[in-house]
Amino acid sequence: MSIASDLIRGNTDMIILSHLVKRDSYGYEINKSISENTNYELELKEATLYSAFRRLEAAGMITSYWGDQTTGARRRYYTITPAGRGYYEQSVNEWRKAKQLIDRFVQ
Amino acid sequence: MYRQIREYVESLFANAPPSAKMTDLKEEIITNLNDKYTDLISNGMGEEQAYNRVIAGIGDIDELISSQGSPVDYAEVERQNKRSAFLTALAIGLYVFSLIPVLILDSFGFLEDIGAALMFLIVGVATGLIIYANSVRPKRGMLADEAQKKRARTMSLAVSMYIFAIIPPVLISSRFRGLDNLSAILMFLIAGIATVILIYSVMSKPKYVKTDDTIVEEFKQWQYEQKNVHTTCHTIQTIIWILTVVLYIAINFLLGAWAVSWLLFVIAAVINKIIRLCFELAE
Repeated sequence: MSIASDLIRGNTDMIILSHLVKRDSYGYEINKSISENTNYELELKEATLYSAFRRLEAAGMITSYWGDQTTGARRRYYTITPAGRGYYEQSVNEWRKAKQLIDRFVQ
Repeated sequence: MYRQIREYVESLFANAPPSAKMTDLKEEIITNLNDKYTDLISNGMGEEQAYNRVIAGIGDIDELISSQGSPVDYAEVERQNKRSAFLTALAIGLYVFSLIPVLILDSFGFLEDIGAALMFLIVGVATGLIIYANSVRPKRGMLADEAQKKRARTMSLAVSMYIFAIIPPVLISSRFRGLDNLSAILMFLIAGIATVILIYSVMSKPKYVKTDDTIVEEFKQWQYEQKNVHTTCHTIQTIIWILTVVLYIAINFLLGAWAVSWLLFVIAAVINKIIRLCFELAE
């Protein structure tokens, strides 16, 4: 990752939830979306992504289900839960507040 | 390249405790890596390059894997650790006790050899126990799976049998002078069976099969074999040391050659060094 890794790593959960808030998705689709949206500046490793999925699922923020696949292999889809939505909104607010505070110092 | 991707991920999960969750995670990763690969190919990237890109993007999944172990595992790991510790302590106690038959029966002059035979019997059991206990001890927080336990059982049985092989000569030779040949036959019979068991156990460990002749595959095979070679070498060296101690005690009690038998340890050290060199040269 070329952007400051620590800053991004702390917000991986929020970034993932931001996708699931719009619609259900699966591993590679989310990873690809993140890459494309950031013009390939941000490419998450599989390890990071799947750790986040497991973490979020264990915390009840998302749940998963198996979708049927035309290509043969079953795919694991993730969907956000109400608790997840709440957590996401809270995270976004915190991020905005933090951004505001820090901007005051670097402006 | 899909097969290669699958095999690579399988190798990453090779040491993971098997469970439905682990299999699910593995399959999910494989499916998504396949998607990524297909995408890269359809955008014009070469097969080799796309494969390397996909593999390089995986990152370090060791932590991911270890976090997938269920909490119940920790209690089980504790239990196995305690069990191994108990077996080891028991074995060491048995080593000490093994001298008792010798000391007791020594006073009855004509029963000397039974004392020695009993000693070897107990030492054989104790050695087998130690090897088994060490093999099934949880390493790096992971339990020994059924295959490993089975290998540990056969390995410790083989080592015990090597020691038991000394008993026929001890028992038969001093009582029945003319039956020297019989005792030698029995000894080699038992040692032979032990060797067969040992070799079978070592050979039936799964080998890593190269899928093609690329450098990546060769490296993975080398990596896998390194792990095995190192443990095999170590195991053999341990066995040699144990046998040396047994031989030392046996020779001293039977022949009273305390003055020179210490040389045995020097010889054993040399043999161990040679074995290590053999293994290193074989690569």
